[in-house]
Amino acid sequence: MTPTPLTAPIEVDEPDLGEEVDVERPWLVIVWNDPINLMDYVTYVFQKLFGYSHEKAEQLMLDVHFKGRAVVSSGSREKAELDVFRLHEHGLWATMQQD
Amino acid sequence: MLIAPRPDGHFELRIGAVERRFLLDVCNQLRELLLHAGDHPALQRLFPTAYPDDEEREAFYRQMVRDELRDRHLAALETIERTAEASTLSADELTQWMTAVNALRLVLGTHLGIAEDDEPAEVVDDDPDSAARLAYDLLTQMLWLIVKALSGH
Repeated sequence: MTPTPLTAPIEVDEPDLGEEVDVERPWLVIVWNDPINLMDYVTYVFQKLFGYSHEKAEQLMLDVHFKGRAVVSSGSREKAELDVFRLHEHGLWATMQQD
Repeated sequence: MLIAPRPDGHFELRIGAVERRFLLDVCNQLRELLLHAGDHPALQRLFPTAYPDDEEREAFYRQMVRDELRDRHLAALETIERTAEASTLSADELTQWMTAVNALRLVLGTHLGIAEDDEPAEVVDDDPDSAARLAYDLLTQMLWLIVKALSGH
């Protein structure tokens, strides 16, 4: 028998399950469209930070521009935080969330 | 204004004295804001939210990186101030110029309420922001030249 939980397990991803969840579900780094950053600048930053080809970086930039957002990288929470930091350093509007 | 790669890996920088003086002025203003008015609304775009849906993690993340992020912005501004009179820049220096010029655009653009992509500003009489709009356009042109030079186009 397993002990009856004191509260019903409504949330499936509570913090105490976090480590296991982190391994299974990568964090996504998302860049959002903004009216100020230049398109060529955004493309160049993607190439520089992530080593993407010009074609791939430009496609991501176009996704940001026309779809409003694009996932530009993914991985562990630590990696995603570092990527977000570097994007913020370059003035891009980046956030992270779990897949 | 001309910013062009040279065969030795450095970059030639031909910018007029007026533009250089302007750049120094706005760098100085942004440095003062970063050092003494870190919560100023115009700086909002330099410190975006990493975890929009998780206040706790956002607070922790912010505490961890905010000073570091501010120091990176300050370091980029210092590079411009140190090399403002230079006729050539290394790739690292030009990259710092790029980061700083972009930060300046973000702050000015936020101040001007730039809201639509590529939309030319409406010209109105006695616009109190007309100087800021000219400054914004100059920074845009400068950033575009820097990115072009660094991308090797």
